[in-house]
Amino acid sequence: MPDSAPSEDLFALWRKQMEASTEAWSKAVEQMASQGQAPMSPPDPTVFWRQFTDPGASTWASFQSAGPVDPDVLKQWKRFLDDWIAAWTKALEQAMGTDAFGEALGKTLDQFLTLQDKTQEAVQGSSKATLDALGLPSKDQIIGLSRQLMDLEDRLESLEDQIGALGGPKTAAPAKKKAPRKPSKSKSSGVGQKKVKKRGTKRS
Amino acid sequence: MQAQPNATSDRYDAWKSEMDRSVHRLHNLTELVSGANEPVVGQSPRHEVYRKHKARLFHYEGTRKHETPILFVPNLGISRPYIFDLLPKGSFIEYLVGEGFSFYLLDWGVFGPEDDHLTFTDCATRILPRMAKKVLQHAEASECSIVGYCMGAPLAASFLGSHPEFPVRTLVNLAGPIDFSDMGLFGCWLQRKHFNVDRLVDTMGHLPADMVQMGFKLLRPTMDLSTGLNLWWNLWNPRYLESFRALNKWANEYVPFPGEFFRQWVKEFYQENRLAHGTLRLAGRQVDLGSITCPMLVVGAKEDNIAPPPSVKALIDLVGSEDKEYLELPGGHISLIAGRSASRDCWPHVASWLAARS
Repeated sequence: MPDSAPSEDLFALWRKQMEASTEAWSKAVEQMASQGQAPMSPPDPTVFWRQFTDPGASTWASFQSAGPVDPDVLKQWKRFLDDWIAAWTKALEQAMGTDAFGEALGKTLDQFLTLQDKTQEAVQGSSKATLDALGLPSKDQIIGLSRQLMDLEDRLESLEDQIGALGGPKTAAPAKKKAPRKPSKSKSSGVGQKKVKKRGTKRS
Repeated sequence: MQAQPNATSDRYDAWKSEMDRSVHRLHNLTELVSGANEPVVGQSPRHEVYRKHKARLFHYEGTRKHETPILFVPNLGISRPYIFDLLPKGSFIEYLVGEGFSFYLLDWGVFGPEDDHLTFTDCATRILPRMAKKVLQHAEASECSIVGYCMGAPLAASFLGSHPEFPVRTLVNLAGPIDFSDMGLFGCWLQRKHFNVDRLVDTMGHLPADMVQMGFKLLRPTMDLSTGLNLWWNLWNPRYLESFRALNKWANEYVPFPGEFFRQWVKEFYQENRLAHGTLRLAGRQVDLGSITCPMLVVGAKEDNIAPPPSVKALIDLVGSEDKEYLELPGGHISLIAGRSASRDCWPHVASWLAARS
């Protein structure tokens, strides 16, 4: 089993490669955007990064075949994958945080909404005709009914408030407006409360 | 000379132990794939105190040691609130109830097309004030503490900033964005020049759960890969598996967003940053964060990519409180309310801070 130092070096090398390639990729995306060539989706990162990932994988394979295999190799492999995922996360975050990506995302959403608009128009027209023919309420009618119920609930609430304000019968079930404060169960908590108020920690 | 056989024997034991784990992994994987042992979430005893439209106010039962009740305001839409009461001994609500707090949860509910017209204004000036009033009535208290998580924090701050007369004892902001000037990837994607929120809401009516899910998956595209890898690594451990099942169930159960709420949220918060600029008006009321003078605790998460720490911390500088504290903990957005780090670092601090002021 090889000691951990060479594997540390390998991880460091791997991270460095990832960061350098991420930077290059982000620059490439931004350059394309500035030249008016903003892609609908980002370029395939696997093509760009294969030159970095393939040597890394083969180095790792030869590195591990050098000595007797220990179960610790699994821990190292897990750490290697964690680092690899972390590097990818960082890379993707950088690429997705660019204006070019935001623009591409906005355009994709626009296209989806155009399609959705047309589909909805077609489906709603035909489904309304079918429901009308069957004498069944449409989705809009059910929604309208539901909103009427909500309005009714709001009006009842406002009536309840007005009655409460007039000092009339207590319709709000558990309303105990002038209920005495429950005595504090532990005397010390009340004292502590005042002390803390005075202390007023300010660590901003 | 004697070291050699020992080393071989150690290696043999290590491999044997690794093989045992692999057998357990395969066994647990079969169980996981077959869907047996569906996680039971949200087990803390509770009852409904009040409901308004889809929103429900729940009270969690426990021995009350502190006079001031807590109203917990979570995010609206996106995900279900059972994350706050995920599993016994792994529940934020259970922890606070165990610490002697009278705990009320505002569950915004699951929205349908009939709720498309619901706005941020409705939530902050109609639903939230009523729920807070019901808490006072039900708890027979003259003041209550409000704890806002994620979007629940700007909702709570907007409510208190526009209702300075409400008797609030303390305010806690857990990973709730206030200053939207630098909101990471979401902030970039939702810029006015890229994102036409009007077109989206006018076409769809609301933000469907699938779209919400897509947005969050895009925020961390490697999340599934990382989750899968960690699952395989820990699959032999039944305790990990139990937590994974519950968290995974929650993480894949997205909830739609009411259309008008989303429109207002994107325009007035992400694009115009009105809350931090002091230009937010709700139902004719100016939202003045400076009018909030109660003691305040703000907790941010270092690796939070939904509400980056500076956006959360901003509340500290905007309120008029004298007793205020900012705490930044390691981890991401969820790590404040679920998981081992939450129960170790976040919950005890929140509970002791509240206890000293309740």
